[in-house]
Amino acid sequence: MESSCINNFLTFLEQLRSHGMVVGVAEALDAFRLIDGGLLRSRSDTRFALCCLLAKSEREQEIFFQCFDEYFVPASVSREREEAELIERAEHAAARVKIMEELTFEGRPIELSDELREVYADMDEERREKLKNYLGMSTENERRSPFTYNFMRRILEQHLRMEESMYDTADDAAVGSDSGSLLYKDISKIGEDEMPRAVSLIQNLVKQLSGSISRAYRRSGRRGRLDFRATIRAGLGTGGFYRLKYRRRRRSKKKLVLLCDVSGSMLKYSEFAIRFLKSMSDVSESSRTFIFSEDLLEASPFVLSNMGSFQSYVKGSGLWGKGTDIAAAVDKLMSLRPAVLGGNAVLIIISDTKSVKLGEARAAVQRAARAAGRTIWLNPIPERKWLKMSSVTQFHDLCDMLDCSTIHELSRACAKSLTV
Amino acid sequence: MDITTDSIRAMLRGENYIADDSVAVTLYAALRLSRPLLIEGAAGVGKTEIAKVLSKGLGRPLVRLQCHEGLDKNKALYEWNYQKQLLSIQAGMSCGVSGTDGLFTEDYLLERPLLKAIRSPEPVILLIDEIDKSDEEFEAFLLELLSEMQVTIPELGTIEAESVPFVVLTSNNTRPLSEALKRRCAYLYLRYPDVEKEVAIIKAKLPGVDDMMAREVANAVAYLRASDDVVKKPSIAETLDWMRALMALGSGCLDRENTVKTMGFVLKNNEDIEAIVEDEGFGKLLHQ
Repeated sequence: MESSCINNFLTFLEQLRSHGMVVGVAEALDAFRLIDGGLLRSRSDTRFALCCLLAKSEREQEIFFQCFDEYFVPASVSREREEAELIERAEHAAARVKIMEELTFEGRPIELSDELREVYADMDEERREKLKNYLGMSTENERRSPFTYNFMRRILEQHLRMEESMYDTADDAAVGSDSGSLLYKDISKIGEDEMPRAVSLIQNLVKQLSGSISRAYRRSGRRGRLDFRATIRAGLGTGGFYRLKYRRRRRSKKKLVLLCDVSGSMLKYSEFAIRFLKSMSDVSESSRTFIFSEDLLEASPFVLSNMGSFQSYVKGSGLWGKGTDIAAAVDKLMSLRPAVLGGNAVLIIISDTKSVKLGEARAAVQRAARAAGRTIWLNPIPERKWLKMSSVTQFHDLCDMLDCSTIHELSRACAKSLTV
Repeated sequence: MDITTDSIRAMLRGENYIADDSVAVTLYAALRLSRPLLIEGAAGVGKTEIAKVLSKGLGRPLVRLQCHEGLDKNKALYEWNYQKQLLSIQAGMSCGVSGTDGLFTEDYLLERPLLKAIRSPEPVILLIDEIDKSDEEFEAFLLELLSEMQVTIPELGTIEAESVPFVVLTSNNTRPLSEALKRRCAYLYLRYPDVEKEVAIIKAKLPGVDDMMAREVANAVAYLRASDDVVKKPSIAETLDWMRALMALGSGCLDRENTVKTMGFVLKNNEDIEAIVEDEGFGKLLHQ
């Protein structure tokens, strides 16, 4: 084989490796033997033969085919692609310059670093439109104008951070199908090797969610009663020009009570949900976490602050691997003194609704829902299957049931349970 | 037989195994390089059938090792014939000869599938079926066989293959296999056939079947496989069984009455059957 061909092939192997495939020397030699022997007549035969030697799983096969189709293209197609790419790049650059020029305030361009300008240009149309609207509203508005620059910068920097974190977490899953993306993958199918990435993804989502939750609270905070004393005091300073002052409303934070099913396959869902809900604990005054299967146990605070040991803790607690008895668990929770549930408590049940003694379980959940201020059920079974499951219909009307089958759904469900 | 991609394609066709190019080329590459072939895929997509077809097509005997939990090398490789050894010792004692010399020789060796494949003078097809059901220890034990084509028996030493068997391993993906094992094998992933391919399979396996009927059945089976309500997806063999059952009832088309009667041939789970019988989408595929 010519050295240029060998180099070409080695570069291809490097590309496969860069996409996470493990290609050993022995496999590479096998592939060389096949190609060098001139035993493969067509491009298609070569494609399949190399695939069977180099890709060792369904996902790796998808990666292989994508890489192969991108790498080995006929010269004419390659030339066409390059030309099209050049044209597209030029058009894109011109469009970006135009977009960046839009960023003006009161007729003058806003001073931002090149990086933030790039971020603005990369934003989708809708977001850019929102920012432009804000700038439009701030024009000739004395109260807002001094903050405009800082606000814009903050928004753009936040967007940049989000993009970076999404890029980091999605990096490994970038090649391959969308189903490979952890965000939309069924939690039960997330393998042990993907756990660190899943945890990192959850942390990133929590950062974004925490921001949106606190903003939601600020927006919903209404004015309290008139603060007469503060109004008079402020008026004295201006020689009798009164501007009304109001007392700030006391914000009472919710008390979260998590009831997590840890029997068998539910363990991973519960772990992920706890990671979400605990990380967002700034919206809650206090929270208590209980795990259950046939019995109920309060999770130790040490484990909750070291979630890495959560699975081993549950497996050692004697609850794991048993059946599920929601009735027994809820009854035990209700019997605890001092009472765990109250008007200010939000009871969050994380379970797939499968339980023994469904009738008793329904009655128990009904009692608990009456005692708690609000009851939310995070169900790992996709919503489209709920109607067909008798166990889901038992509890559906007693609480707000939310789908949490993927990390994406779970983050939405957690945010919803804490903000609505 | 000179092995080329075309000859493999012809062989598969000759044995009525309907496969796309990826299967033929993978078989060719594995045979050319004498690499074991690991086939993964859902149950009933035709993994085991490939080994059988190869055996017939290449005219090589098929040696099969069915894996299961607890399978060890005594059941897979060799075992000493203890009864014969005891008799031999007793016979020796009666003659005044004692000791264990000569007890661990070929005479007392019981061949199991792996040893049989290795010692066969003519090359065989060795099918190691459902490797994912065996324990990890057994998987590790196979590494020597797969890479060196030899096995070691402590009392006899290392036995090299007299003729290199072509090894086909199948897995249903119930557990991930080790990287070491995968690295030693060529890899093939089989999916359920699409409608066109399934029609071709039905027609190949059941000559004389009506074209339209075959297509309707293939469409219905494709629907069942894609449905979230069906837990146990129907295999190709079940499609053929269903087709046979419908033909036995004299159905000229996929009508509701006979479909419901014969549903048990294609779905093996009562919840699945109940869900599908009430499914509107499935109902649209049937003649009323």
